[in-house]
Amino acid sequence: MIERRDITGLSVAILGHAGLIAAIYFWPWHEKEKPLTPPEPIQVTLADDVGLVSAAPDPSDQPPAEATQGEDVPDDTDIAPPESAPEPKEQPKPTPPRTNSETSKPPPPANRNQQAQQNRGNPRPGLNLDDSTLRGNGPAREKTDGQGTKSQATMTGDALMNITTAIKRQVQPCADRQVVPAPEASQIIAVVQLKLRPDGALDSVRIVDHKGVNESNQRYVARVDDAVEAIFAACTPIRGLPAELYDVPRGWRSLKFNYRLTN
Amino acid sequence: MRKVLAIATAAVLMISAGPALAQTPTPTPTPTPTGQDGGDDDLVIDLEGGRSSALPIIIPVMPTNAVTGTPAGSTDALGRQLSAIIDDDLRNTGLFKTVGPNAARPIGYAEVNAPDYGSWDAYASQALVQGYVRANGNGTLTIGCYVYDVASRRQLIREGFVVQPSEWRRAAHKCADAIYTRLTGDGPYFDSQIVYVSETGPKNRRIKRLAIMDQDGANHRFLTNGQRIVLTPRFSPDQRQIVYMGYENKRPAIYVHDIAARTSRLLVPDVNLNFAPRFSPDGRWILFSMAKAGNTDLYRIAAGGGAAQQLTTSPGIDTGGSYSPDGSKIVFESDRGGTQQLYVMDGNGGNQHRISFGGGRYATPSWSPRGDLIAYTRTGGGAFRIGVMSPAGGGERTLTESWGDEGPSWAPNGRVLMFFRAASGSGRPDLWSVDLSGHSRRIPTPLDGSDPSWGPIRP
Repeated sequence: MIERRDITGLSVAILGHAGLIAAIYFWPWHEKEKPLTPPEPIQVTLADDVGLVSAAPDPSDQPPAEATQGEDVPDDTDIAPPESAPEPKEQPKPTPPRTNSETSKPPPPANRNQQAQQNRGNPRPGLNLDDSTLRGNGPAREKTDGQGTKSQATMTGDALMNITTAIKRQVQPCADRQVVPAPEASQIIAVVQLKLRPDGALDSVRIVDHKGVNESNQRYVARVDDAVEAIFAACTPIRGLPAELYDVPRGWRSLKFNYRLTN
Repeated sequence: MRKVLAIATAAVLMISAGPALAQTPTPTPTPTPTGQDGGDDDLVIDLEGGRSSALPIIIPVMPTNAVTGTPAGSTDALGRQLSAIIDDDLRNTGLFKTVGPNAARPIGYAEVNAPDYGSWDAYASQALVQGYVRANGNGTLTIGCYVYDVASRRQLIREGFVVQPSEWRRAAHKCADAIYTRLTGDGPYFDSQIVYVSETGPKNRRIKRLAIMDQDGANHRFLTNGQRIVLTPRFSPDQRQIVYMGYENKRPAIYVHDIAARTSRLLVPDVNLNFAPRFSPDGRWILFSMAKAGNTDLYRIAAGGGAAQQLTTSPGIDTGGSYSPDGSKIVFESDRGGTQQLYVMDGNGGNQHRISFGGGRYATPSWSPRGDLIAYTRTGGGAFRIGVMSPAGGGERTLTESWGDEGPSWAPNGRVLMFFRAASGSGRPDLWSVDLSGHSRRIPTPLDGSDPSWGPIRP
């Protein structure tokens, strides 16, 4: 026998569920999403207008500002950048690498560096750039701090020669494409500090010194520097270098080139 | 109820966010720098490479923000002409292989300072020139000149020039000069002028007139009417005057022509034979030769006139004097040793010494504006050729291989020379230019041309 009290309770329960379903169904989830808005157009500011001597206006319809002849060219920073994209949400910070005893299951290897890290405990002196090395069967790495690891591998003479050969083989075509402006330019040696990323991509290129510069070839220094920029922009990333020897003394993370523009 | 809704909402969110969470990469430790910022421990690699060939460069038509009529033509037509002039300037040097406005794809106005590098990769070029034309409200034109390195995706040049419509060609030359200077390392020379002797008529009744033109042959005009034969014109450093040798009543004398006033004045009122004049680099003096009592020596006289000062005294013919760029020395030709050879002396005539010792004869020396070379005409074996040597002597290089080349004059950058070449058979002279690399080309003139003098870069 259903009592009046039960009927009331059942009715309340049914109404409650119906209300919940209706609430879930009709809740305005999409109203919380911001509508897509087109990016703000780039604001172009007209640089100082120019005389016949030297200047650099931007191609803008805006009226030119006053300028004097011989005025320095304004930097490209005069051009307002587009509105910056919203900051991405902060990703979880990487946790320090765990020791074998701390982790029940090692993470799957994501790249050669990580593969190399797994081979902990099997260090071997020296390296050859054979397939086993490139597959990650190289030397183990040791834990250096709470954030990263450092290879225990050492650079041997053979490895040095092989890496040098591999790098030169890949950048030489771009070096050969550079035009020698005059024979005197070939006396100049640009000392170049090159930083590579673990994937062989160009991190930075910096010309730290020039040798062989004299009065007759001084005017070609800028052209030699241009050639340096063009070579390493066009012929990177450098492929096939052993990950184990990236961040070791005399490794390929940081390279120094003595470059001569000659044919 | 509120609590129930919150739980349900959380459940829905969990369900909908599930795939996204599943795709979030697990953060993995990455190797961090270990203090190697580059130094003596770096792996050192010696790298050599390059080629001696023309530098490939793309020169599309310069777009305009709005097609507007100007006294120089509509801005869109000007954009095409400006690009064509830059193309000609660069290609004619022999140092550039151009993809000109007829071959390069057109660009939009907004693309000028934001190049689409990827679209140019197919051209296999090293440099890209993008400019624009804009008519200003005050009647002037603004010509923008941007140059990019296609390989390194960098801007190399960002200049612009505001000119009167009548001088639009100069803006193209200025842009080409900026490109040439940046990409070769050598100085500019496209925005400069040439004065020379324009010749016409039969050999025995040759009409010779002073003429002036842009270095590419444009804007040609005559300065004298041909009633007086003229020879060896030379620019003043400020380009306002031209000193030359003229025959008045069949008697040679030195005159100074004022370009703006279009008048000539006699410089050396002397009964003796005066010839081969040339300004000093500071414009204060004019060097010349005077034949007196059977001996020809070098003299100098103030550019405004006055008493001449004798610089050489040796027996023989001393002529063809040319100052070093700092004015401290003079190179000249002399036959005091038996044959025509080159000598160098101090600006006051002291310390005279011979610098050429090759076979044949050396004549018409010209000291480079860079100071590092002396150009000359060398004769031997029945041929006249243009060559260069060190001011100290030695390091001789012959630049031309024709049989009738003479009278070299340096471009303002000291890398290019103009001279005149007699055609085989007719002997009719034409103007030619030659780069120190040996690349030569004929300079177009309406009539025959000889005795060129290259003026400095225009301000």
